[in-house]
Amino acid sequence: MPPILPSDEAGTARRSKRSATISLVLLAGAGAAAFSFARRDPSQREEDALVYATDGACIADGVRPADACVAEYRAALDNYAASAPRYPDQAECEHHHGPGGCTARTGATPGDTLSFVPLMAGYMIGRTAAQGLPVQPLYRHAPEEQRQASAGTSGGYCTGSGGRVFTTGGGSVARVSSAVARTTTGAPRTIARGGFGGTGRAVSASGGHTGGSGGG
Amino acid sequence: MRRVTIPERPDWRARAAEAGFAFHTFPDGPYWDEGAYYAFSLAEIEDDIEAPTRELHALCLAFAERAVRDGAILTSLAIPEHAWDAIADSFRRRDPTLYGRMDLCYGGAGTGPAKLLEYNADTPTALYESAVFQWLWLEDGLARGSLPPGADQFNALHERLIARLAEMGLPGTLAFACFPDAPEDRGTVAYLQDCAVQAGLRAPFVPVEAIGLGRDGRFLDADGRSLDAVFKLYPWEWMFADAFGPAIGASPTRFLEPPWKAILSNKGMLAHLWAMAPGHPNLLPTYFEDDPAKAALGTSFAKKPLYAREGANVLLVRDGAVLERDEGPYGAEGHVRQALAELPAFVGRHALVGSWVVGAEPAGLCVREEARRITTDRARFVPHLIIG
Repeated sequence: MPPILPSDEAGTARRSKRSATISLVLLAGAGAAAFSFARRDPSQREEDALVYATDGACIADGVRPADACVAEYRAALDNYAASAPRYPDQAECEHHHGPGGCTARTGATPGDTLSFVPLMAGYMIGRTAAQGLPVQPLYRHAPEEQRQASAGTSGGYCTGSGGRVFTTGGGSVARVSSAVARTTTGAPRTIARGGFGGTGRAVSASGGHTGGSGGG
Repeated sequence: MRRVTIPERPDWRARAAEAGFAFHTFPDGPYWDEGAYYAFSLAEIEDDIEAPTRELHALCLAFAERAVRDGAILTSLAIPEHAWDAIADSFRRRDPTLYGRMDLCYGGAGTGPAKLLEYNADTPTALYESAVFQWLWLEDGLARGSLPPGADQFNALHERLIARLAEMGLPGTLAFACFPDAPEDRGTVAYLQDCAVQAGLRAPFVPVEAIGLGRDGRFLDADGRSLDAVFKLYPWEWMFADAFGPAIGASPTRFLEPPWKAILSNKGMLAHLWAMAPGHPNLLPTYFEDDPAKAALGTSFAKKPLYAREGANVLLVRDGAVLERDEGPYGAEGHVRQALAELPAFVGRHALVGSWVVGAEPAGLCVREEARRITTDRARFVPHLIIG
């Protein structure tokens, strides 16, 4: 939207009490306005990705060459061993990855404390090598089962850095935010999520006011 | 201050769509209501609203200066002890503030001074419609000749917000967080993202529930990247009560509004302000509900929870009889009792003046009206202009 200038009263000496111009670079003309913002955000670009449980599933699918399937699966396992997210206890891990979705792992060096890591549920790779996407191990993501059912997607996965991955129709194809597809974890680090928002959801669930609103 | 009825523009919904104003209508009725406007004189704006707003904000800062050093005050505000350091440190660092909105009881010249009802200093909404769509309404009305020639508006919000965002010394990226499924919140945040981009910042959105906590104490976005600075349209009392609440104080992540705004947005502040400046013309006598001195208010008062938004859980009593009551989920943390100041009624609708503050300066005005005496999240936004 081009800047709009206020109507100027000829000869007005008094300083105006309103903005001289209004310019909107993101909202203007969006029609659906606020909600279309996310789609206009370049960080929300998506990539075509493939998700497989094993190299065997990859070979059976026939999209990637067989030798690539084997090499990529091995890379995913290496990555998993090096960088699976760690949680201080089983309950915290299962909260994120579902009941039975975690396993205990001792540290690489003697003296490291016991921690819990999610099982590797699969791995993700770009549809073509030209995309240049890294191989990433994927983990089950627990709290979103209902959303998957209602949205017609399945395979609620997350990457080691917490990005969400859904496959369509239970198959191997996923549309993944470019940022998620390109962000890999390096050294293992403990990540907690969902630590903000609970109080607001609880308050709005118990009150009659606008659901989930934090504004006023 | 007059309420003037006029026909609404037949094409205002198309104008709203052009300007990105999506939440102009509630599921069951209008929110944006241009079937009328409020006309103020310049003296009403400058003397009765703008100057008191500046003075009240300065008084609030003087109170915050005391409060951050005084555990008894923070306890009276029901702020949990694990939040004290985050609040005090942010104030000592002078972490900058972007904006706030004072809600004033004001009925125009000759009806007495504006009275501070409360200060939405932490998570105010109604910002976009105040700053942009109200401004466009005036310009369009002037161009069409449907509004009085020469009319102005107290509304420098848009340019002040952009200037403020540019001058705050923020890192290059300011992330914006709220509940993505609350349309008014998401709309307010989308507008501030727009302002931030115009101020030269990167302004990605992150759903409040997607924020993560890294091992180094930094908060992370949905993709695991560090967040240096976050604007959150999610109130501090909820942040502090959440699982990540105890991690805020030690985190290098900076927030807008800063943690010290939790003091100003707390209705307990109103009792402390009255004790600091008894008889101030723009303050209402206010006491904590557990303070015997509240008896001074007699049988006419407003009882308000320390934490609450949108009028929730407010009880109005006049001459011992309940005048109005709003139900809601707040109040467990305690209440204040404030002298009853009934909102002025114009053709049966109660008008509430919202006075915007950007940085420390008054920057604009909005009027919301409702048939009830308590202004809630069902109130309608009615534009204003200045004439004469």
